[in-house]
Amino acid sequence: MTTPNLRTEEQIIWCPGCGNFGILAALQNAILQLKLDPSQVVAVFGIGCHGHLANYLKINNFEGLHGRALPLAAGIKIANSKLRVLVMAGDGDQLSEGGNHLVHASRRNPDLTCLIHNNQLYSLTVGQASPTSDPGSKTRSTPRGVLDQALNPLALSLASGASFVARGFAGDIPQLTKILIQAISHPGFALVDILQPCPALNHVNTFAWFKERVYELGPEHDVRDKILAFQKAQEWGEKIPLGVFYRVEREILERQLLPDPEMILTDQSLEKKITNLFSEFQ
Amino acid sequence: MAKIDFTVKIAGRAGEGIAVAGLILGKTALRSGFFVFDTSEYPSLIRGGHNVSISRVSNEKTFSLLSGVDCLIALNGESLEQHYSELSSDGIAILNSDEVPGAQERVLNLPLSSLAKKEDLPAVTANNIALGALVFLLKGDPETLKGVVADVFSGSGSEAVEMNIRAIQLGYGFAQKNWPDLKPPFSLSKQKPLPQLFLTGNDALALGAVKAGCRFFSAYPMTPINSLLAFFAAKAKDLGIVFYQPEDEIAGINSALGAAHAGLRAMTATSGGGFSLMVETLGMAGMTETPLVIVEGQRPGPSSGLPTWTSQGDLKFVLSAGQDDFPRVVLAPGDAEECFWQTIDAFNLAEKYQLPVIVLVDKYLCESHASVAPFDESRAEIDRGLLVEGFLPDYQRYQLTSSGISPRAFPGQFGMNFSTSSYEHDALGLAREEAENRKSMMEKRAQKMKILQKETPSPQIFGSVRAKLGLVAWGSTKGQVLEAQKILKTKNIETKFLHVNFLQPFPTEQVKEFCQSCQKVVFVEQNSTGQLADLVQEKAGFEIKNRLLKFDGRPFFPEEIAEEVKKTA
Repeated sequence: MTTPNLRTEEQIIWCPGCGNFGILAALQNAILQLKLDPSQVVAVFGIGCHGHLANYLKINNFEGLHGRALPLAAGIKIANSKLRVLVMAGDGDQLSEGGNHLVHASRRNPDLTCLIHNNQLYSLTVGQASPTSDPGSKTRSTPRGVLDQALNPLALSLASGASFVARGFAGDIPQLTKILIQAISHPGFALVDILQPCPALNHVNTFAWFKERVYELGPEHDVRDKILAFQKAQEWGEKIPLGVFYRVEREILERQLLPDPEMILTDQSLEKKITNLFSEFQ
Repeated sequence: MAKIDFTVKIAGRAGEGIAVAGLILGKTALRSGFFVFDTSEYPSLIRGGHNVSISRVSNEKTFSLLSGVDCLIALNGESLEQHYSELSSDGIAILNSDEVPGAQERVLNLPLSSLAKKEDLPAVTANNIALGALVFLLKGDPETLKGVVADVFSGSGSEAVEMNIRAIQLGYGFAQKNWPDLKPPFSLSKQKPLPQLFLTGNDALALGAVKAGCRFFSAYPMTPINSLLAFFAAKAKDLGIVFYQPEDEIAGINSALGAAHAGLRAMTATSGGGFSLMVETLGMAGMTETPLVIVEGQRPGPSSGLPTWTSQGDLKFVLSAGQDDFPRVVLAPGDAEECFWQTIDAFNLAEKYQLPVIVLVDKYLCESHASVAPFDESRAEIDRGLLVEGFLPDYQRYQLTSSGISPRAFPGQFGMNFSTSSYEHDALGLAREEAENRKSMMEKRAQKMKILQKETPSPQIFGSVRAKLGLVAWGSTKGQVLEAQKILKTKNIETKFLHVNFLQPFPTEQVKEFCQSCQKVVFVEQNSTGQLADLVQEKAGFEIKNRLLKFDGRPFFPEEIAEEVKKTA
């Protein structure tokens, strides 16, 4: 069997040097290495620079609303649990507008893989502060520097009950590929925070800045230890850990919701006799 | 057959089982061969507020309540005080006399609390003790009443059933012993029961959705759709349906849209406040051409408004909610029967035209029970619209067609993959900003409405076609206007009544024709401006002057409609 080419003919419109190129490459690698049937993969997007990715891969793509990709993806997955459903989100998208949905997806554990394309800015609207912008950083909406603490997507997701939490770096495609393969294979909600330099607008957190700081969690890191995962999630600044922070298996949302855990709802007939329901109303 | 038509009001504190007593009375009357209509009134509190259940029992088909009370069950002194003046001239009141005995005329003192205590029954069974007494007074069949109690409490265990049946017997026995000669002129004596269902609007919406093949229902709690939510929560698994309680209404509509995109028939429900949160996604359903059914149960606003009361104030809102133009359908069933059939229509229209359909109801309709002839489910049809039937090498989800309708596929189907976007997109579903594409896609979506307009059913006209006095209403005021027509007829005032239950696309021609055929037209609406009247002015181009409006949260009584219309005649 020849390796299918997942790329569409569409011309990529991200800025030269954008971290999204690395994420696209790693995602493509992961889908190919996992030998997923592209017709059985659905990617649901929020709104942001990451959303352009919807035009570049020959899978099923749904560009939804800013912040709302997770519940849309959950509906698709519940309806047809055969599908592999990926969520692409931005930091402003998923952590600001969609923060509530991240908390609850982490808690409910639908079998979705959520990639946060985290460039610490609103870049599509040319550079306002996002929830992950470092305190003090000057942006178009914070000329005197960001006042707030940066939100920690890993710690938030862990605290909310996520069963898989990882961080990747758009500048290390092989490692990101490895992380995405594990995330997509994880049965349950997998959150992957991806450090994504924005060369056009973020002149602090650049590829070089990250390269000096990132390191990979070693084999000694116990992914079942939630306290350790929290501890590692707090590291930021001089040293920034990458890899799988936490992974456990627990009951999946749709398997509990479905009339039968194996049932594919979209395969069921619409015809239904309801006469037996009438007796309750007499 | 002599006409039987009386109203029972049960009043007490929240938590005393007022609504369940109303349900038991209603089902007992239904199983005794009567027609019943009931409604409940309660403040937005769990315990302690004043709750009321009102049931009208008749041997003729009833469409709404009437004002006035023939039998009052007052579970406390405050209830008697509040409602005594509503008693009809030959009405009676049963009072829980343990607090303060009633000295007024026609008040029957029933020591509910001490009776319960003596028989070792919990205080909460007072409602059923009173019902037992009432059924004796009305010559009803105690066995029918006990059967209803057994059914209603079956979910709470055999102990609850046994206790409540003892309560019924206690009340019945007390009345038999103390009031053997009282013969109020209202009868619940058993007749041949008709095959009827006792349904709230919410029940009928749920049954309609199940019959239509809905497989996914998501809803965040909000009055007045909570009983719809409870129906699905209780029955989903057995019916092969998923009920999903989302973290907010935004997740509710997005998950339903996701399920619909994947190929299910999906529905969400809320009230005006939750619908406000859903609006951005409503537009996405329009843009992505995803079939979706949204139940909007109105209550008075703005903002949190009067959460547990009724209103028709969201008509303009649902007609225009969302940025820019996109096609949508708005249905407004007038009673439980229309709730059932129009929910099935809603799913068919949503899939046939690939758009969102809003079913606009209100607290009064959602939570009032009515006796309804069983639905002939063989009449229900499922039309999924244009679907792709096999692998297409160059599938275009948004293919331009003369109807504006493009064949729909589901992700993963036939080994195909495709794109969908909330951005303006091309035939492939890829985001596009070119002017020409934008124009043709807007026209494509609008084209669907043009075809749908031709399919819009004509609104129903009730009463005498020759009448010169016309009444127009939409949604749940149907019942009260029908009853008002009956009252007006007894005063020799002939009317015809146009009931609009299909609001978008709007049946402009039929409404115009009706208004023009009348010397006078009165619009009857439960909102403060006359939103339908405004809509008709805009669509038909003439002024609607006579607007009978009520917006205090309380449903119209037929008598007040008749009174006002009489002044106009």
